Amino acid sequence: MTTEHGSTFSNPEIPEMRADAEAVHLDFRPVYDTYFPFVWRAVANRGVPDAAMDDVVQEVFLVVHRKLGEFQGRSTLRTWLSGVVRRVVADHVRKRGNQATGQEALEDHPLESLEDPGAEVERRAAVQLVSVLLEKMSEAHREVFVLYELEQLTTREIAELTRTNENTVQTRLKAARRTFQRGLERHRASNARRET
Amino acid sequence: MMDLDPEARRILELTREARTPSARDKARVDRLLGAALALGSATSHAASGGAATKVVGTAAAIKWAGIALLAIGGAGYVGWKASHRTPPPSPVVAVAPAVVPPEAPAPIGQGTAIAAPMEPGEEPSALRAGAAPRSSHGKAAEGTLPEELDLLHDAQSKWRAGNAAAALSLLSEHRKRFPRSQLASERDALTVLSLCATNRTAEARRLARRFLQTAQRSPLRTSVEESCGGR
Repeated sequence: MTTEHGSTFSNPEIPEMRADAEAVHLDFRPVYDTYFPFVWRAVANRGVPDAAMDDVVQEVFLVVHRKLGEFQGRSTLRTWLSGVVRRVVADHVRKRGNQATGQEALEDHPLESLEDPGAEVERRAAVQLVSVLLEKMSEAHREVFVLYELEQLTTREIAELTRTNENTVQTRLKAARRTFQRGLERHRASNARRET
Repeated sequence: MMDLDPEARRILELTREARTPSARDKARVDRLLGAALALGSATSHAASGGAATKVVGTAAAIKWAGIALLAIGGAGYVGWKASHRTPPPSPVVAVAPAVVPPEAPAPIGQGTAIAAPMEPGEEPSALRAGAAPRSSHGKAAEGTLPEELDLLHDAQSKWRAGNAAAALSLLSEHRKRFPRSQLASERDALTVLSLCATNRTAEARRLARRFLQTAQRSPLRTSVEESCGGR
């Protein structure tokens, strides 16, 4: 993707972009095409159930369409998009009630319809386990962990998004990882006890 | 910084994979978004006196809205459909509109003499083939535009939320209150989609046929053509 002034995105999957504040002009369609997977995952990672995914992702891009002209390149586009996702999902949860767990819709897709049921079972188990482990974290830690480990933002981007400094992000990430790792170890131990 | 063990990494990787959208996921959102940009966000944008409306000015607001509201956001939406080749639609009702190039918008009064949409249960024969063209509407309609847009936007929101019956009710109200609306073709396209969603296929077909005959250059033609009414 090339901006009006020649800035380019080299990685179409998750580009790192930081343009001069005066030199940003982005067309909606290429932004949509490039960042669709990123936005989809970001919405899913916030616990929006499968049944609501299309609507919420669409809403995110409607906001992006409306606001893209205001993007000035002071943050990366990923950070900016993450901010939009945050607000839209919060709005969705507020309107619909906090029913979003990301769990209930797992039953919506019968395994028989999948090309590789074994791999899908493994992915579903992983999603469920991650959801359980994330519940052990404080909200602040969970947010940093999800942004870093699942959405793969940098600590700097997370600091911008959460309006904290990078040191705070690193501290929270470290604590969140510890919680995640310990939770996983307890899960393993529990499974081992069941098997014996 | 403390790192995670390989199993933890593997679990996170699987979670990322599970939450990666498929081509079908994107195709569904493509179509929803295309429809919403034509019918939804544009109407609310205009109704709220958004930037695009200000740019074209009050006198041109009706024209701006009437040409399927596709020029909003400047170049952002232009060429959306033209360069957007999505896979065949998944079995959802939502459909994307075609986009007319900005240099060739559907002129007001041309091909827009579509009759008002039906009441639920109303016979399509009530539709008037010779409805007045938009160009004859004058300034009176201009004053009601925000109200019209609000109502149409509410109807579109109901349709998007899966409540097509409520959408039809609002569209019927729109038809009664604004029988000579500048947005009649947008209203009719949404009526076709809502009729399809409520399995009123015969009525949808009749209205769609009329729409496709008269709204020759409407950017909503594709939506109607791909609906149950256009098949």
